Amino acid sequence: MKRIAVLGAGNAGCAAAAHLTKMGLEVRLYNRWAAEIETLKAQGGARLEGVLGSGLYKPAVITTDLREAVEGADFFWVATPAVAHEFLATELARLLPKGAHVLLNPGSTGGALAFSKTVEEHGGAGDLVVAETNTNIYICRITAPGTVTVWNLAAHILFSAFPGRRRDAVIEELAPYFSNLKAVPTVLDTAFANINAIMHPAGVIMNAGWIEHTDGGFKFYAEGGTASVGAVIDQLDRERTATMLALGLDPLPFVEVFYLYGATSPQAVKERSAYRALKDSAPNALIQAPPNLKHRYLSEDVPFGLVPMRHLADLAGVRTPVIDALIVLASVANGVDYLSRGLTLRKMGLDGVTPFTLLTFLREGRTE
Amino acid sequence: MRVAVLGGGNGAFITAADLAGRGHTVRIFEAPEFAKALDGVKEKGGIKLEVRAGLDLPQGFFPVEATDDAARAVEGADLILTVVPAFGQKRFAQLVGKHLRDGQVVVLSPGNFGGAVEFARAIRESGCTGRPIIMETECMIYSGFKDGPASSWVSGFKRGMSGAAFPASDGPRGIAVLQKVYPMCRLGHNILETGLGNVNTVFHAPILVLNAGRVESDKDEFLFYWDGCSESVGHVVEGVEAERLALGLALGTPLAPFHKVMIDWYGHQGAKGDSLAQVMRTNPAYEWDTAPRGLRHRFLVEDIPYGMVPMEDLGRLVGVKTSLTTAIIDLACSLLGEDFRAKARSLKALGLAELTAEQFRDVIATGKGFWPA
Repeated sequence: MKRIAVLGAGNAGCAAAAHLTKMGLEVRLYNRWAAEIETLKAQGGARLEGVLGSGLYKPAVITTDLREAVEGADFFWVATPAVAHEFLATELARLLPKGAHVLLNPGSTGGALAFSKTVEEHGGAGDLVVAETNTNIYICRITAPGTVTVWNLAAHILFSAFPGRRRDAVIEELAPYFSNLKAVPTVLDTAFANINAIMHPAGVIMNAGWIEHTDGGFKFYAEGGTASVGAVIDQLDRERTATMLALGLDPLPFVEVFYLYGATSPQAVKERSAYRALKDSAPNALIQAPPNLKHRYLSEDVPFGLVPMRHLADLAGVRTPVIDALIVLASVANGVDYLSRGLTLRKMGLDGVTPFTLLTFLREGRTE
Repeated sequence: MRVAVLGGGNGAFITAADLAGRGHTVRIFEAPEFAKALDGVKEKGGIKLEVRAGLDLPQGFFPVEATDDAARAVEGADLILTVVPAFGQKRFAQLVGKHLRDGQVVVLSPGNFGGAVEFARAIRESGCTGRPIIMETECMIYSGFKDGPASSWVSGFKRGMSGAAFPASDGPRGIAVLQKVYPMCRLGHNILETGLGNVNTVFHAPILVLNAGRVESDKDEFLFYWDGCSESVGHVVEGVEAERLALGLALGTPLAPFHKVMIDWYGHQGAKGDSLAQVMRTNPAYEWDTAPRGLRHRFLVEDIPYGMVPMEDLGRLVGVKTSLTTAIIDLACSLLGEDFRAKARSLKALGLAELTAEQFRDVIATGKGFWPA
């Protein structure tokens, strides 16, 4: 891995571009829209602040031309929200070389599967491996135009790839640069460990009135994450783990994933309580509630989080009343039918798969 | 007229005081386990009624006889108003059942779904040999509360209400009596209309669930409708309302849309708006309605098992999807760690689960199986 195309110059993309450049890799940074990279181009790079050090790091290329960004690249690092994956995969399909290594950081739920399927549908060269993480490697935000602050690296990130048999090749490439990658068997292990999908929609729906009445004038976790809201997340987690078990996967409870990520206490893990996990979460104590319901906490985390989980539960024959309730209420709140607009089994390339052929499919990329 | 008021809470106090203030002879009766609620009335011999400006109701102190004798409570009463939460209705049926005589009109105000059916069955099981008329209204005509051991405050008075009987055929005789105290009350077709006509079912749980964090955090006081029924919350309420209307159509009992009903009830107090949610969040009658301070509140604990679960049940009976209603029920169960469906006044609990839609409608109309032929 020498020349990395970093696709997306938002929070995650800027952090990756600066950090990878700092570590001596050649980075080619792409963003679809010019506005977001104006300052980066003017100052010649991304200014990094926080735990990874301070400094201005200059990628080799900063461009809105995708072809230019991927030219000669031997690794493709996707740092866009899940809503942009379909667009990017469609544009990249003919540009990716055969056998390309793609990383979705993060993958959201089902991201690697959907990305792979879209590339295939648009004439991809073949032999693609799409790796993904369950949440962003970097805990970061763009804090001023052209400046990204990284408050921390996630302690442990779940990592896998589709097809699963190619996972280790990708992890080997990344290992010299990232020591926090925890390999898990399949991209459904990462998909179901999508922390955002587990936490955000529940917190938004059960504080919908508060959000809209006060334009998000309260602390999302510290004040909005009450014991009963935590109880709902616990039940969502049970639906999620039941689904994983029924599909032959080995689930990690949400609180454990959250703890591995570095966001909460060991006591919360012992209690297996989402409420405790959020209360004990220092990094989340000051997070403000979103100003409205159009926010990614619903508009991304439902269609690219809860919806694919729900469709997978259907495949498994597991009932998911809380997940269903959140999807329905989010859909009514935002006037969008998330169940059909979000990631379906077909969009993830799973429509021909049964619970019996699923693990083979995830490992091999096909059912035989 | 002689009126018995059953209950000792907010609604019962206001009802007793108002009717006494308008010249009726009123006795009030509460279940023995809650009899202390009437101590003040016993001591003072009546109830004081204070009324919000602009409402045409009597103000002052009015004589009401408080009794702990169930037989005395209903003896000679032409009208027996049961003004208690849904989960208390059966208890009163058991207490007064054997003392009810032919032609006495019992009105559950409000009934909540299935109230009259449950009451009718319970009084027969308690030894009632007479043939009273059992009715329900879809709401309580007053809003307000008990503010002392012998006093109450009325903040709203609906201009209109409907009453229906179980069986429906008893309706005309029953409404004639009810109209003597509530002349604005109209006759409803049947108790599906009243049971599905309670705004509580559609308003309370959705708004509370979608404001659950704020209520439980108890960080600040806020107004339940004015603040709590924000734009998206309003869409959810309107969605549940659409499910309710679909149920009515499928049951063959078209229901009055709540948007219109709210204007009918509260227009005289200044309520207006282009949509149901808009009316709710600006209704002057809701000006002081603060949100509950905790989730274990009747808005969930009563309105889910006695309102929303029956809606879901009926949806299955007549093939109407109730995804929003189901969503709210499931979140409420999860928030409180309760199985509200198990505790609900479902068709099964009413002994009507084995019926087809056709048979069910027949029972509602004729009371078949509940009264001797």
